[in-house]
Amino acid sequence: MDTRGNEQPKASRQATVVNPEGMHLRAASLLIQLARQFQCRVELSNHNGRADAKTTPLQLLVLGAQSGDRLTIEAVGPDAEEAVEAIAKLIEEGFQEPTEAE
Amino acid sequence: MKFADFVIPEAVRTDLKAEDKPGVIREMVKALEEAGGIDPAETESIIKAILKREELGSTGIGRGVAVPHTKHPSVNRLVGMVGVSQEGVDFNSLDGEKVYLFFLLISPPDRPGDHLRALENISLKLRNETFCRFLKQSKAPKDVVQLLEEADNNQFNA
Repeated sequence: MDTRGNEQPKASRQATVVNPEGMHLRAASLLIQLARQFQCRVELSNHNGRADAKTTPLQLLVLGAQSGDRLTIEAVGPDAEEAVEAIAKLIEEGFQEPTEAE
Repeated sequence: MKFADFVIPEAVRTDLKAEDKPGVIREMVKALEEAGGIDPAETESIIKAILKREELGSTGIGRGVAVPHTKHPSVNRLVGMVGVSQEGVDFNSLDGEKVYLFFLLISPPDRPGDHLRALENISLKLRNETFCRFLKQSKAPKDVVQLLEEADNNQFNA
C-alpha cells in the first residue's frame, strides 16, 4: 500500500486474553462498541488471522481468541494511541465480565 | 469443531414463523425439544435463560445472522440447531439488520471452550458469502443439513 503523503498516526500493542471464557460473543460486542468510539481504523489479529474491530462480531469471532491468547491491536488514525490503550485495557481486564447472573 | 459436532439435524427448521425475538427463540428451543436434543422438563428454563442472555446484548452478529445461546446444567454436551426465517426477525443486531439465519447453542456450564470453538467455526464458515446466502435461501431442513456437511468437508473456502 502506498502511504506517501499520508502520515496518519499509528499505534499497536499486544494484550493477553485473561478471562476463562475467551473472547466470546458478548466480549466481542463490547470491544466493537468501544472501538467505534474512536475515529481511527482498528484491527485485531492473532495466530488465526486478522479482523476489523469496528464492524460486526462475526469478524472478531473468527479469531477464536481463547484465554491465554495474545492479541495484537493495531490502529491507524488521529486517536490511534488512545484507541489501542483503551482496547488493551478492556481485554486485559477480562472484558468487564459481570459476575455470573443467574 | 464441525457443525456435525453440535447441530442436531432433526431440529433444523427452515420455516420459522415467529416475528419477534421471544417468539423465535421459543420456536427454536421447541424444535430442539422435539428432536430429543434437550429434556422437555427443562424447555421453559432454557428459553428463559436464552432470553436473559439476550438482555445483556443482542447475539445478532451481523450479515443477517444471530447465535442465541446459553449455558444450561441440563445438557452434558454442546447441542444446537439451525433455524431459517424467510421473513426475517428484528433481533436488535449491532448492524441494525433483520436476522434470517439462527444458530441456537446450549452448552454445559463447565465447557466454555466448546462454546467458543463453535462460535469460531460458525463465524469462520459464514465468512464465505455463498455459504451464508445458500443457508438463508434454504427451503427445507435437508438443504441446510447438506450445506453444513459440505462446509464441514471444507467445500466452501473463506
